[in-house]
Amino acid sequence: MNIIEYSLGHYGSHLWGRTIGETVRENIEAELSALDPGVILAIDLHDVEVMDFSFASEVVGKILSRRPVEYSDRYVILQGVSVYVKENLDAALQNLELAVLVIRNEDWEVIGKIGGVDIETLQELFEANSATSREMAARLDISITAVNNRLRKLADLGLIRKTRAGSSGGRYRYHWLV
Amino acid sequence: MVLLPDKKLTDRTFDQLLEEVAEASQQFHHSVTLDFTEIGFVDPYGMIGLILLLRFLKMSSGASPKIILPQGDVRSYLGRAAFLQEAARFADFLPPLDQVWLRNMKLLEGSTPSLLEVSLLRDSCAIPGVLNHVENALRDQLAYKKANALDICIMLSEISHNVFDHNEAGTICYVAMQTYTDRQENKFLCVSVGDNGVGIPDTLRTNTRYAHLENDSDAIRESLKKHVSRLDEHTRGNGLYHLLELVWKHAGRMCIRSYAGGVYVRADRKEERIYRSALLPGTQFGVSFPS
Repeated sequence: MNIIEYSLGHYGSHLWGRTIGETVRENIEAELSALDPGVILAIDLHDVEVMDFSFASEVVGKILSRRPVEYSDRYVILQGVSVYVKENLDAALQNLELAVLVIRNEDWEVIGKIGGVDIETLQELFEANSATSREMAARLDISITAVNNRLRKLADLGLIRKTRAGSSGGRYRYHWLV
Repeated sequence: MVLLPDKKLTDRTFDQLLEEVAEASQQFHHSVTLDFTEIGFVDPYGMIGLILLLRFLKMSSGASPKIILPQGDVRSYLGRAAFLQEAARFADFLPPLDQVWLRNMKLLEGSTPSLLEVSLLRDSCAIPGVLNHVENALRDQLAYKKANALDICIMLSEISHNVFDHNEAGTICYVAMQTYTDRQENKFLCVSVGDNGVGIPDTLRTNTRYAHLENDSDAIRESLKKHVSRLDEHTRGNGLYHLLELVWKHAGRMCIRSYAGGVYVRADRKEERIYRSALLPGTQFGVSFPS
């Protein structure tokens, strides 16, 4: 898994307003465009103490909402998010009905608009490392249709991806992974 | 001559003054004299509202309004808060103030040092400096926890940036912040932002989805909901909603006046009301919290 880091702290510890956010977003999107397919861009917020909701919406909100259409084979996660910044980012993303994976040391969580069943599915996939839809259905004890609905939703949110893993009986097999 | 309808000039009483000035000046077409000799208390909302009113009166009538100032502590406080210096640009004081005294006001310390004196912002570049000052004042002078101080800064940032995001170049914005103790020894923090811009109602009505909101107060109330913006973008329209959430989080109260409309929200009593205001161009926010 190839992860490229992008530090938001370069722009300052206090990130205010949509105008600055627009500049930052454009820079991040240029970075995203230049990435190879399958690469993950980890936006690092270690040095960020605060961002207002306008900045959060303009940068994180717009990037996440555009990703499925404009950068569908690239992924965005956050890291180094303080408790305070997480609280406000979560509020901003909840209202935009978006979600993002946040990494802290060896642990992960999802902030934004995500329900209990989505977290459950994500946790199972994380433990499995990678799995087919059938394997996930068995792990979650639900139907293939139900599990595919869940996995598609998580993929649309950019939290998981699907990779081709060979073929069997003339049909492609796909694995899901976080 | 317009007498102060109340000895306090705050978010609760400013509109009464506005109504009386509108009537006395025949809808701001004639200059007036404001008698403030009996004034006992002015909060940031009152100061900024008054400056915007004086500015508008001078522009509309072509003559500077006159203010009979109070004596003593209140006058000194208005000087330390930089209200007098800014108001002097649009009004004449009776009797005239000593300019040396006025210039030296900021250097004096009094029983109520100003956390953030009335500050004029001409563009969004000035906002980070103000926010930095506010954060330091809250943490150093009032021992605010960092998270709470930053919440106040976020509120100020959202309101101030909106002024310049939604108005043409040349729009000005005033910001002020002060802390007070009431008679019951309760401390509270007051923050206010006011501008001379287009106003929330007309801004919102440029989006055809909200063109039906004829009442200014209804338009302001609508602007506090999620995804309500003059722009039809998915990531827009939540700034004021988040502002309201922060007010609730800190058990505060908020007053928004814009053109002929007003909304007043009080989180600690779960009270909300909309009201009609005398038409004064621009928008004013007043937010107060238990400190």
